[in-house]
Amino acid sequence: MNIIQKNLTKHTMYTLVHKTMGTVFTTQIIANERLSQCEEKKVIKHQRLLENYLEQVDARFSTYLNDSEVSLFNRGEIKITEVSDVFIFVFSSCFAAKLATNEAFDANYNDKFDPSGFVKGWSIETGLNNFLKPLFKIEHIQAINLIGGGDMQFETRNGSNWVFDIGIVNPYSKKEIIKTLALTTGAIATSGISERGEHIYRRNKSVLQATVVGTSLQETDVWATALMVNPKASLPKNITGFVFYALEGDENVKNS
Amino acid sequence: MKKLIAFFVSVLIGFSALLDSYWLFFANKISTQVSPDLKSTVPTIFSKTVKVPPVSSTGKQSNSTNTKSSSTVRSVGKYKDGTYTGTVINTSWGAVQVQVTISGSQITNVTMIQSTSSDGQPHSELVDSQAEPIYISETKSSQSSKIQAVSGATVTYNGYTNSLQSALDQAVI
Repeated sequence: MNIIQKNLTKHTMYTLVHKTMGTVFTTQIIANERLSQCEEKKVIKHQRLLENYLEQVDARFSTYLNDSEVSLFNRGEIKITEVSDVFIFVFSSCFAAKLATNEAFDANYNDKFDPSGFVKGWSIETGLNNFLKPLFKIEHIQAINLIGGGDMQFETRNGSNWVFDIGIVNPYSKKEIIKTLALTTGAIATSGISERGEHIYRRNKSVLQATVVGTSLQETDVWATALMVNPKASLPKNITGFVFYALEGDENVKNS
Repeated sequence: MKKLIAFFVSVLIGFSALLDSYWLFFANKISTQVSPDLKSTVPTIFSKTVKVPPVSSTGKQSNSTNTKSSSTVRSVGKYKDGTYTGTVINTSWGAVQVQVTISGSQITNVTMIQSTSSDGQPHSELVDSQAEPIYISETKSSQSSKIQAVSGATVTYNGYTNSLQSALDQAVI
């Protein structure tokens, strides 16, 4: 397993990468001093647990795998009364999210249950909480960020002077940043018209991208999808959204 | 006489060894053979209800394992006609329940019910705030040397996503 080490001004950033769910998951660990070999081993141990968890989530909830619980359920090979408890949790969460977003978020697609718009954010959040946050026992570690396909959940140690500077990508040019946010602990999710596995029907075609900042990625991810569908949606307290509209005169713009 | 006792003891040992190996190798298989029958029973998460009991939302729970602790009445036996209501599942947006209607031993309908908190209001607190609109024409900054992470939409193609996303995640700074 590769740990990429980068020196920042006053900190060291350790990066670990894992590919699953058709995208890339990146763990970023910020330390105020270089980690010892023993501490690096601890980091790798927790990263392995995280990767194992993400693989399990993918195996159960992927709509691309024929033998996933979601696929079995959609083919009627298992009934709602036979699914696992965690499936019921995801099923229930998707329904509650649909109600909360006034149906702008909907995990039903062509009469099939497709929870991918919820599962990625939820698994990043629970993955960080269950497998990476225990690494705060290492006192040099100041902050941890788990990124999955452009969505992330991050936490900074209390009293630390670390601040994450997170850029929001330009939907036209993926190499450009259109806005930078300085955050310590929370979650940020971005939805765009090129979203994988999320079937977004935009009511307002000039919306190109929506970014939502909050405390929990399972919420912000759902709200980012909801804002793509309905950019005028009301957001809950302590959730902030940014909707990126197309340039005037853009040929893709269709006035609704 | 001694020989006879020794013979009986060795038979006894032989028999117990046989019994032990039976338990070790075959008992498990028998229990898995039983399980297909159990599939036709309604699992622990559902209980037959006539009326949906009022439930109180206990607030946000993000951990999926919480669903296990809330299972209540176990219903054993073949599917019986009626409506089965799942235990209350606490989600980030409030408490919900799955309701399954069974008719003629077949599932005929699956619905979800939103549970409300004690004050009769859904858990999710909506305020009249809206997303801040940003027009792309405002774009000014490009790649900053201060940025550690980049948030963007996951792009469609597998190979493209992999290379682009890792480039985004690693190229920064």
